[in-house]
Amino acid sequence: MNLMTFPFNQLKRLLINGLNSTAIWFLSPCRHSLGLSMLRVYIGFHILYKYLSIWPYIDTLFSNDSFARYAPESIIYGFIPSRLFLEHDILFFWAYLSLVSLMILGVGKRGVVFGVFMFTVFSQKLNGYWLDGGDNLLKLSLFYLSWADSFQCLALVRSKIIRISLVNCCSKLAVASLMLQLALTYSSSGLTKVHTSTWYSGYGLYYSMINERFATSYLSFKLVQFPLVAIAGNYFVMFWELTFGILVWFRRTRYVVLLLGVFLHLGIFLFMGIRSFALLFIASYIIFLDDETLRGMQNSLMRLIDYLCSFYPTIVCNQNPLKKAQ
Amino acid sequence: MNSVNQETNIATKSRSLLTRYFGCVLLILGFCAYWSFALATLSTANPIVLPLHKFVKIFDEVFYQGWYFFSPPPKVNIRLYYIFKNPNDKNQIKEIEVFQDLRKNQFSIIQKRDYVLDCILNGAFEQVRKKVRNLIIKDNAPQKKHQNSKQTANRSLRIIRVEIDHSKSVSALVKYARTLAIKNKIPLDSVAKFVGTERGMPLYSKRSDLFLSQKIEERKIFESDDFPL
Repeated sequence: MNLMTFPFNQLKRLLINGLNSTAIWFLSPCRHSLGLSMLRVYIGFHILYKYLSIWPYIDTLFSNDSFARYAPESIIYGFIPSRLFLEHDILFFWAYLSLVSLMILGVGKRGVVFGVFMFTVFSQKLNGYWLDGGDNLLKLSLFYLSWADSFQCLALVRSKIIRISLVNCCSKLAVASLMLQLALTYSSSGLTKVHTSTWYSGYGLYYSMINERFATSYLSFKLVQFPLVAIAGNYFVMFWELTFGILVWFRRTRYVVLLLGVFLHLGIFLFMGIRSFALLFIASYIIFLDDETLRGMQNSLMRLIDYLCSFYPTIVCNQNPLKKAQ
Repeated sequence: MNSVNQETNIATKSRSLLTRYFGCVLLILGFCAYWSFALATLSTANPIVLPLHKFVKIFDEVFYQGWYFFSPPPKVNIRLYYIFKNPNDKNQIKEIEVFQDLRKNQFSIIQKRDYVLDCILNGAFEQVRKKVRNLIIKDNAPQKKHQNSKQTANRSLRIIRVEIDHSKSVSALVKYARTLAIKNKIPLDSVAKFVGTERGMPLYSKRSDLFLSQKIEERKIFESDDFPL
């Protein structure tokens, strides 16, 4: 081939156009603003619920002279002395929860979300006895959210949509991170289960459900008596966790995988008592639904409510004595 | 004049666009670096991850990624007994198991207040259990086997004991005895000790034994010395 006739200029133009359109895609508005806003509000309420439910134990968990003192002398690479927080634990939590309230209301933008993330890191470092897997996801989700513009909806002070901006790029990468986090979480857990003989041989779910610490009632003990629940359930959990990270990226399989995940976590909520963990994971699925889908779901829900309400006036009319008299 | 203004506008616009492009590239690079580290923290030691070990440790401090979700699931239920003895009357002994009391009527939609106490005591005792197990493994290491005389065995057991007794988790369990004594109206001049045991869960083939608690065997894991309240 003659080098002189090779279309260098066309190739160069094509490359530049490709790069340009990719950059413009990254800088254009994010299509998950509603999901981001809903997740921000949910996480806010989640933290409020978590800390207000343990409020009577705040001193036990976080004071300097508590019997359950857990924190080392300094936290975060040894830079921050724990005493700073443990001696003023009530003040620390008032500041934390105030910041969380601002985040729910949508005041203060990304700085506030980053502040909530930092407070969450500190509180988790100060006492780790009461943490579960959900708390780790909570912390990481807050970190990703602090990069995103989650104030376009459900906020007192809404942020404006800018056509081309670096904020949009941050939001898109934050959404990708939130999705990747869930995919990685389940895939990693699924892979570990495959390497665990108990799960591999089909008894993992049985042992998890009969653990006295998590079994909420005798119902858990009764349920595992059925092989379909214990053994088939075991392989379902393994298969679902392993495939989540792949199937969730395809539109056709996404909703099935997410729906199965909701059922799985509802099962954990009901029969294993790790409530905040289950609820947080279910809420995180919202990030896989774009604005269009969420608005479609909202419209369907409104239509359903309208349809159900349409029965109400007829009942009222039938019972109305004036109407009867007429 | 207008054409000059237009040119300046175009130049400013393209410069700001270039800055955004540059920012965009930086963000994407940061994103890739973050997820590479996240993957590195999840993988086991291999030639790619080993040189990054130092950075992975720094990363783990805040962005820890360890997702196991009951793999492996615990195969034992733990019990924690506090035994209070009256120093004046040796026959007056009171034994309290803490978890059964804390987990009474466990099913509730709202998080129960006792949940925190359960977490603290369970977490503290789990740490003691882990230490006992690790130290026993260390003690049985092959290089020590050849000098496994009775004397060495006794010495290492003493070391185990001292190491565990001085741990934060044992200190938490010891301090809790006072709270428990006040709650149960036990005189504060009593001496106490705690005993941690584990009860194996029945095999799947014997799952009907779940309802017959007396059939399940209990094994002592750790017993503290007597301590004043």
